Amino acid sequence: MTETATATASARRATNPLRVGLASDRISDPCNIVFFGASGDLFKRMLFPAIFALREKGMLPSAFGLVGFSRTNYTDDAFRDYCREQLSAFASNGAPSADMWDEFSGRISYVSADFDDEQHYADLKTVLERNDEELRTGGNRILYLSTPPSLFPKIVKHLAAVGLDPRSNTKGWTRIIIEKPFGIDLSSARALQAEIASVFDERSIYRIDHYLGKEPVQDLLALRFANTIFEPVWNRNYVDSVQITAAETLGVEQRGGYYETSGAMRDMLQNHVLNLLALVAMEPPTDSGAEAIRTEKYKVFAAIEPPSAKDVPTISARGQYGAGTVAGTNVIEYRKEADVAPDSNTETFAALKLSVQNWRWAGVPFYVRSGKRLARKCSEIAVTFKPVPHRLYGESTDAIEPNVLVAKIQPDEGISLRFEAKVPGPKQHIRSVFMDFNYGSGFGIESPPAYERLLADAMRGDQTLFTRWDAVEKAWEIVEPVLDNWRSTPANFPNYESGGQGPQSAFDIFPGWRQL
Amino acid sequence: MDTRVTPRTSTIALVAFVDDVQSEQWLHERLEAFASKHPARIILLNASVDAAIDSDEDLWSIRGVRDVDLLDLSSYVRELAPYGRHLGLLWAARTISDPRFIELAEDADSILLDSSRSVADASELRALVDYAHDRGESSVHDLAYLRLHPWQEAIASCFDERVHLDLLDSIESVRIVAGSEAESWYLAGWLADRIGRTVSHEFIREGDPRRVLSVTMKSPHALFTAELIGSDEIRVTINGIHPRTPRTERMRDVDILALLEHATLARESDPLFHPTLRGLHKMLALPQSS
Repeated sequence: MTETATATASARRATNPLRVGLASDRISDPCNIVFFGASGDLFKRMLFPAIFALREKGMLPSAFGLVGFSRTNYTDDAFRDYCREQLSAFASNGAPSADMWDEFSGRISYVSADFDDEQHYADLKTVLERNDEELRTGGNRILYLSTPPSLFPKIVKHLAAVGLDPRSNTKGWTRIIIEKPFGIDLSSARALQAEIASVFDERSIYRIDHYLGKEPVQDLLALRFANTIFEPVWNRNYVDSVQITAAETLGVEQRGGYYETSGAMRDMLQNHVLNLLALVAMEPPTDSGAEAIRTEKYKVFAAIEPPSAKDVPTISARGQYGAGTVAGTNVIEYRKEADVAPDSNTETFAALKLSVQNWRWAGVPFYVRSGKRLARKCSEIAVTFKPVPHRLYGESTDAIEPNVLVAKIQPDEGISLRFEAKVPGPKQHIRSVFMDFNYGSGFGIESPPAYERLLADAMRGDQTLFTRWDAVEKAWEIVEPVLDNWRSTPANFPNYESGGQGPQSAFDIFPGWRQL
Repeated sequence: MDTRVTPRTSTIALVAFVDDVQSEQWLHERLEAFASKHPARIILLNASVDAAIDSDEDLWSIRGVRDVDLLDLSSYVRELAPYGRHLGLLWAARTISDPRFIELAEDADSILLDSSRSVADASELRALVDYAHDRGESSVHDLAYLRLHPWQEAIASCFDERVHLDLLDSIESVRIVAGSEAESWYLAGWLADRIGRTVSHEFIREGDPRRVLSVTMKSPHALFTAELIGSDEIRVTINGIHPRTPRTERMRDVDILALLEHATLARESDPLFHPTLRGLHKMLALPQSS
């Protein structure tokens, strides 16, 4: 059954009136969730702990099944044992209670699979149909592709061939979740989209960007549209520039092989960072529904003109980390990391200066950067306002700093506003002070991990925090000229020291980056 | 009391009224925590001790108000509360059927009750519902109600799935076991408002005040039970036509300070509490006020 058909059917259903006004959302319909690549790192560190946390919080439907589909040879029992071990290692609550695990583990199955072998997809179908019968999962399916992106087209093709596509599912809905990156450039993204769209319609496709599941990212919209004081100054008349930073202290760790084909631009900037930019720059949506928000985000991307080839050197910067010291520990250069070519040209740092060409933002530069092995782990959005038009305190030698509103995403979560205040005393000394809001202390509860939120949303059929194809395509169009230029121009790597502020070239395009 | 409280300005005045010594100590600690986060003028009126000024600090006033007449009581508040600030009344006394409550509430912008201690029976609740209705619901909050959110979540989770949602309208009765009366009435009132009708109810008083022990809803074909397990878990069980494996959910630690902040600082009506009062209005068969 297609998602559209399911939506029509669900419109006839009554909703749970007891949920109205409560903090948590309804629990999803009964369903199976299949994790392709279930023996991989993402599954064990993030996805399975998130699923089990949903179970612990009572947010999974009682009729629920989980199927692992991966290359490693496991029996059902061996896979269950593997899953339990991951909870001990990675779940915030640690090892599960015996009662809860006994109940939950019976819902876990596994298919040892060669991704090229169609028979294994047929085996998967048999398991799902058995679950529908025994666990009463109602034919509803989520297919989560947490494999290397190169396998996506192959998996989708085989799913359709054995009748695991939405159109062949006459009992319930079928949704597919696709991990980023969605393609490695514009043409591969379009090719991938064509493959997936031939089997799944857009309402069934959930392109996941876990950054969008982070609570502070979602709060950006609340900050802008649930307050009156920000929106009147949220435009070219008052905003001088916007900086978006996603900085890490970590290197590539065990992901050298993947990172060699990706780099900072594809791994972070094209998706996470541009999505943050869209939330900062978008117009108020007509409502809080998925389509209204996603449409406004798309319009931001459409308003960003991709740079011309000649402009690329002046609006972009790339870097690759050399050896250095991070938090008191000596670390090696990127080219000496495991699975990395000794002459690698892959960038571990990328920065862009972008312009949103619309009425609200014309003339306001948006500076975005992301990098590994930098001085500080920090994801934030900093909106810098214009300086005061007239220096009233002319005799003061103090510099009057502009106001800066910072939305902190990680590791701290909150909002900070810098403004100027008079230092007490007879002199007119002016100094910057800060108003800080911190999520942890402000609400006294921890933000749920992003994957928990996103998995629950996908099960409920809420696409708000998932990226729509037209926005993905536009985002690729924006970065494509830069990638083309970088591909054809030799890089002088490594060009920044681990534990530093990034390459000098980033400061050449914008000297005002906030200190990391 | 910590006299080193740093704020020297206040954005809110909070009047707390208490009439027994034990509550006074409990309340004092919460108010200190509240004041450490929000610049507030705290006026603690203690009706269990004789009329006297116990303490008057920059931001704190503690006064004994036993036998103080009504006009003097409100004049204390007018004298001590900064003019033009939001004035919250935290009524922690044993009953709201007290003329002093009416007197103090008159000037308050928001009222925070703790019905776990003040509502002993239906007549007390009737007085509260009537009062809230007459006053305009938006400014009345109740700690007893705010503590029930985990139970509302647990009860709601019984009906998320289609097969169980279909049974919601066939619920015939609800049985609530709790240590104080207000919780039972509130849960039943909330349920009545949400499903649009009243159901037969049975309230059993058992256990510690403020604690709900179990909620059981019965339909001809199924039994829905939410029960307290240990001190901080709620187990939800569905038996009957579409049985469901029991689910256990840990209750978030109910932080009284967070509730106090929520109710004192919120200027808008609670989207759950006021509909609940409407449900109670029906249950108690009160005549509709104009």
